[in-house]
Amino acid sequence: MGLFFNETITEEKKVDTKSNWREIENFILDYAAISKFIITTNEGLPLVSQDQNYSELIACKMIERLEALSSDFADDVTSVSITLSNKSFIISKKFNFVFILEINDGAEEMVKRRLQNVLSTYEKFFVSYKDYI
Amino acid sequence: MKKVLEEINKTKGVLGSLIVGGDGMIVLSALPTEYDQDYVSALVASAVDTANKAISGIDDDEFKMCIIEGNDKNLFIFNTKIGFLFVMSKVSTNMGLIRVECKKSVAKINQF
Repeated sequence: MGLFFNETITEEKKVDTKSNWREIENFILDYAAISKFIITTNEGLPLVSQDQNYSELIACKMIERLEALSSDFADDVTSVSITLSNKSFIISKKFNFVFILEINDGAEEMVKRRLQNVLSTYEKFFVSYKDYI
Repeated sequence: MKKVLEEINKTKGVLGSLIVGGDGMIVLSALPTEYDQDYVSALVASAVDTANKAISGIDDDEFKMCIIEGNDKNLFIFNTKIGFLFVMSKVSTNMGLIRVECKKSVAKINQF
């Protein structure tokens, strides 16, 4: 089970928020091709992750690079996928969140579809998340 | 090799392509004239560097490919034996098809 970073929300709403993040985590991890994932705010604050040290290190670095790419290409970069010999990474920015997924080789397209599915399924929660804080 | 780029450019949604050396110098270009080739090739080298930095410390494996999706364009960068194959496409396009075409082109480029 992953870690949840929601210390500023009220007690009443904490249950709903945590429950939603847990559902999202299970939904993502249900797909075997995804080996690790992190969800952070646009500012790099980790919300859900399998490992706190991993998340903080990776998220900050990835978001910084995403911004650098947007600046270089004079376009708002919404998603970057990086493929190595044995694994891939997808960094996707949506609804003021950054989704960082580590994927076993060869499944990027399937994982992108999976992520789209997560985003549409939980769109209402993502859009209104700020209301919970 | 020029033919390889011309073939990719025929894929639906592709705006142009070029091959860039690891140092950011153009090896071959099939970009439309409206784009500054020197600028684009420098950006490609910079993007690869950025991608490598993003994953440094996580994995030291060899860089194969990077796809950057923007609001305006999608950019595909593939590692080849002679440098990086760069392909630029419209946003509303079949990305899977372009990826397949790029992989075929990489195989051809690696034969030169």
